[in-house]
Amino acid sequence: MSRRQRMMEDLDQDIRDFIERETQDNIERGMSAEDAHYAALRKFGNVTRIKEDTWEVWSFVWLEQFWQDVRFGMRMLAKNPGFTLVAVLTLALGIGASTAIFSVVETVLLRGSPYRNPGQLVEIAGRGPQGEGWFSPAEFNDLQTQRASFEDLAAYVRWEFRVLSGAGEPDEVWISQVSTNAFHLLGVPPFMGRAFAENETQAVIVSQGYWRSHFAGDPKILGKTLALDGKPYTVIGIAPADLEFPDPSTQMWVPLAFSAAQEANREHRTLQVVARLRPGITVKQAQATADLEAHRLAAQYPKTNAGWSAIVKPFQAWEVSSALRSALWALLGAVAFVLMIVCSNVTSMFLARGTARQGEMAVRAALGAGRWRLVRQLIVETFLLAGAAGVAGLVLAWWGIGTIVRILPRYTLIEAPVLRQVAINLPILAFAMTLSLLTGIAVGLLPALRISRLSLNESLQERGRASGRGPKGLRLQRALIVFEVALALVLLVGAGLMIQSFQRLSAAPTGFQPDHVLTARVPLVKHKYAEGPPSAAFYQSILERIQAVPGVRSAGMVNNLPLGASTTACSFPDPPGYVFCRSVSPGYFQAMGIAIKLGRDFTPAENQKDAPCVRIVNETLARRYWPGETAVGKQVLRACRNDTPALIVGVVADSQQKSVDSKVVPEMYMPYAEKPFASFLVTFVVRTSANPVNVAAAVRRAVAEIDRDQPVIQIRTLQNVVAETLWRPHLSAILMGVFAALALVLSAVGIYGVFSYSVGQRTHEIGIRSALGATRGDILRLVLEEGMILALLGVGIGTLAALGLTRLLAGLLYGIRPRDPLTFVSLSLLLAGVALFACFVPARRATKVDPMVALRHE
Amino acid sequence: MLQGTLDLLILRTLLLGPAHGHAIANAIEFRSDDVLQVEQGSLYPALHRLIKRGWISVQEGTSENNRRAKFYRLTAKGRRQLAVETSKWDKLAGAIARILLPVEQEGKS
Repeated sequence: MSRRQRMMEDLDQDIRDFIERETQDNIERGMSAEDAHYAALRKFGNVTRIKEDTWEVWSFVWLEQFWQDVRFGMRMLAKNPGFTLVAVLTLALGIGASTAIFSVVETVLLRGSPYRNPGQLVEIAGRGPQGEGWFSPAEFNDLQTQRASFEDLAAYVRWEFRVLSGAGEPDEVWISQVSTNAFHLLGVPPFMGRAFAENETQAVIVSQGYWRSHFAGDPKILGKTLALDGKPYTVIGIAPADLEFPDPSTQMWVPLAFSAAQEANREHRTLQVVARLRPGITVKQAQATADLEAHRLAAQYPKTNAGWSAIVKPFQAWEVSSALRSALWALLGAVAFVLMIVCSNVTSMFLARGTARQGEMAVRAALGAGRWRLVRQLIVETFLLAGAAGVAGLVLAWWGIGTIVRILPRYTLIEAPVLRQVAINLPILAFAMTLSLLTGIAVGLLPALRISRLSLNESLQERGRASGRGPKGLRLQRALIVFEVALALVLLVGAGLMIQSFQRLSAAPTGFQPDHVLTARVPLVKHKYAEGPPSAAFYQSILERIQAVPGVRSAGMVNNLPLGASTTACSFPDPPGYVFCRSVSPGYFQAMGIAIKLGRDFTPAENQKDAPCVRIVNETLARRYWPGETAVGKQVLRACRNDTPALIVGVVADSQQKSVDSKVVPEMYMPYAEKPFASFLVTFVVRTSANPVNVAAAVRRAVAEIDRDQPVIQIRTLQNVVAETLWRPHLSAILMGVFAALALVLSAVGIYGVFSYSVGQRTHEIGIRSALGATRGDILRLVLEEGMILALLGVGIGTLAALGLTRLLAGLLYGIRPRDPLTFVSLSLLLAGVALFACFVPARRATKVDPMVALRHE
Repeated sequence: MLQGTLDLLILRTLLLGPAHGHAIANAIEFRSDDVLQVEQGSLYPALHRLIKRGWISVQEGTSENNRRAKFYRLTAKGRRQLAVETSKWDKLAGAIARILLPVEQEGKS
């Protein structure tokens, strides 16, 4: 800083010279020496400030002053550790919660398309007399020659399960077969390794999620060979994290390959097609090309293609369900409310402290600090606080995100598997930083402007007197209290509704008894056991072993556990319609705890290939088709082989099929051995006398004894199955609950803070009042009355806002109305009670004011 | 005072020859009939701004009573700048004068 010193000395010299000359002039004008000197000084102005201003001309002075402000700010914050800690923690809660929720929203809702120029991507669907459908390999080959409009076309098969072996525990993976050019066409370079080469068949690309969970993110997996349904595939690449093609559950991609016979096939339409338009070509132009080709095919192959057309439409990237979408927006709204409460609280704190610092500011202004300089000083202080809070908030957010991800179900397919990838990344860091900056401005600017506007004289005179109250300051703090209470009420009501909705969902009757039941999925390995007698025999032998495990009370098997992702519809003959259907083994109803209302369960003899054909139906089906009659003994026409009828032998209680809150529809059960289907979903249901988890190892062993390479997956209790289907309402309820609790505590702290401060400011007044004969009760009432008016005002405004806003939650609520009066009334009372308590503490302190001490205090 | 007015006045004062700070302040006060009541100290930031721009230079010298003092002097660049500023000022003053024509007031601020 020697340059500064030298220059300052020079300037000093010059200014001294100047003042001396002016003094001399003044003496010549006839003043006394002393008067002349002071007159010269007065005329010159504030020397320190002028020197600073002159220096500013030369230097990056703002940087230097900024650094000064930072150092000074840190000293001030360190001097008040209590204030600093409370402010930082409060802000950190707001920033952390907002960052955590925003990271979820960003990942699930805001992230852009991973595809290159997504506007050029189209999907082509076939449309025949039976409705919309897909393409046969031969048709796809014909379509591929249409390059006038399409730069490139790729076919894919949406999903299929395959058994993975040769890498740890045997597992089931969700595979999509794609044309080898698919990755190139979509424009998604692999995260590691390479995309498929042309004509490659035995290669596999692994999704990043599966690579991380099943292969522990080991890069050495590249080049290794995996067995999928017993056939070898070499791992050539890892897909980028955000690739959700054709849907987010896809765990592996393998090349789509056809035999010569398949290539010629025009009948089996199994392929979906995605294409990239040539630059400048519109969907309409592409449609014209497709129409021409469809006409040509119809003429050439009338048997398969008459009346058949190809529809070109913009490629729809996979989308999140609207329930999750609105839940996330609701949570983001809630967290914004929390942040606003946080900011109000910290602003109040700063306002209170600002008043306490008036003296300091006045002295600094007298010593030559400009107004802007004072404001900047205060803003730097708030930024320091906000910066510290930002760092703490990021830690909180990181922890929060971890907790959110842990709440996600492990086995149930969730609407947005991308949720599992929520993490703190660059955009999130930027968000947290911006948010810290904004909160810094929000909480710092107002108090800083107010404090710097105070008149210098007034402040200096009032310095040291505790009654330096700014009535305007308190008015602002009171307004902030009303605002906070209103926000808190909206959050409380929102959380109250979500929590009750979740409770009602959890308690909703499922139609089965989920306690003491273990479930384990044993997907059929098709290349070993054909679906039919071999698979039936395989599962039968497993079932017998499980039934023999000690502690097992009953066990059964179902091809599609209720509350799973998929359901199967079977046609019902008379009147024609569709009903849900499941294939089960004898003992399934007993193991699930589904009551048999009428008739009986299947017998082991009926669970044979050539047994007499029998059915069991649920009550809804019985009521629908035979109202007022007994369904048992009735026939289901053409239900069995050679269109023979099936005999209904039992009616079981209704049980939930898709989710706990869906309407039960007619359902029909058949013996698995007689009608095996959807075997990749086969699940064993085991009812135990003790904790069901205890038999998990025995169940696994029972399967391994029959086939060591057979995957046994998703081993969990039936209670867990039910709970996992409720993950979204559960998560929403937890988060809303946390936010509402935060809001309640923060607004209580805010009220307490403001009233403690105001009581402190009014010590003198209270002293006079009690000297004039006010009783303790009077004083208590004085403070409480004001507090209650503010709280009730807040509750009133909050109620109006909540009445408007909870409507947005309507789609997320189960068994409770968005304007549930009980919720509104009880939470308003709770909030008012908490507010009353928060101002009761300072009010009691006010009654303890000793009038003598208070008056002498002045 | 209008932005830059002080700069212009300093340049105009130095056109008559080098001067030290106090002399400049006095000259401005005298020549403007005390209309420009400046806090005298504000001369210094202005002087340094002009030095930084290269319009004036500073040199050590001795004053009439043989004391060391700083003398500020107009540079060639400053002289050109003065011409530019003056014509700008004339235009502005003319414009203001035309607006205020009926009352016949001078463009003072």
